[in-house]
Amino acid sequence: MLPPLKFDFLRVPADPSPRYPKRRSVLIPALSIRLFNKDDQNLFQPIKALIDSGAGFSIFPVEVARLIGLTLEDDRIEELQGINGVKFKGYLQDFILEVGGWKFNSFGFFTQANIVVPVLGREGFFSLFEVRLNLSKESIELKAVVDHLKS
Amino acid sequence: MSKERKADLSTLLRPYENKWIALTLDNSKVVAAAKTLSDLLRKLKGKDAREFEFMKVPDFKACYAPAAKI
Repeated sequence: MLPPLKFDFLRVPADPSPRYPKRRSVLIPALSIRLFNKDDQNLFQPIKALIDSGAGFSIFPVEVARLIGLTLEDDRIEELQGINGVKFKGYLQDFILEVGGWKFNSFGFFTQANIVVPVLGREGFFSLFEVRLNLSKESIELKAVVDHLKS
Repeated sequence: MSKERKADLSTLLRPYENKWIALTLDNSKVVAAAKTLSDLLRKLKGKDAREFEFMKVPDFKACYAPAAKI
């Protein structure tokens, strides 16, 4: 098994609010990942995605699937629902997920819906890693619970 | 994946609220931005998308649930 993979939280802009009048930025648990086509690893795309334990699955925009040559089949469409209750459709597809330079078999949904942000959810991400978000150290630690792919 | 990425994008991303952006892999520069990912890909036409990291910049006023610390 791999040693734990360590990353920093990502600091992004934020505006002041009544609760946080001096706020100019916020830390979010986002990771730089790459999605690969399982059949042709020359086809890949780097993208930032938010770690979201509230999401049942990982969800990405459909354009990424097209960029890496994934075939989106009608018999793999499922209905999904966002936190606001809005339902949308997604294509389930397998891919290789690269995190911290290590590759893993994974899967997730690709959708044409206008998603707020790509997310790494429970199935396909939390199923691969023990995830530790340490706010005091502003660090993210991933401990693989499955074998990574050999190159 | 060899270059070290910046972890503080709070200044770099300030002009791009709610936009899809293409970042250099070291996250030092935004090379293109658009309202949708489709529009962003049109702006990158002729370039190799694998040389950029895509990101959806969050809304600066709303707090998405997993956002964790001020």
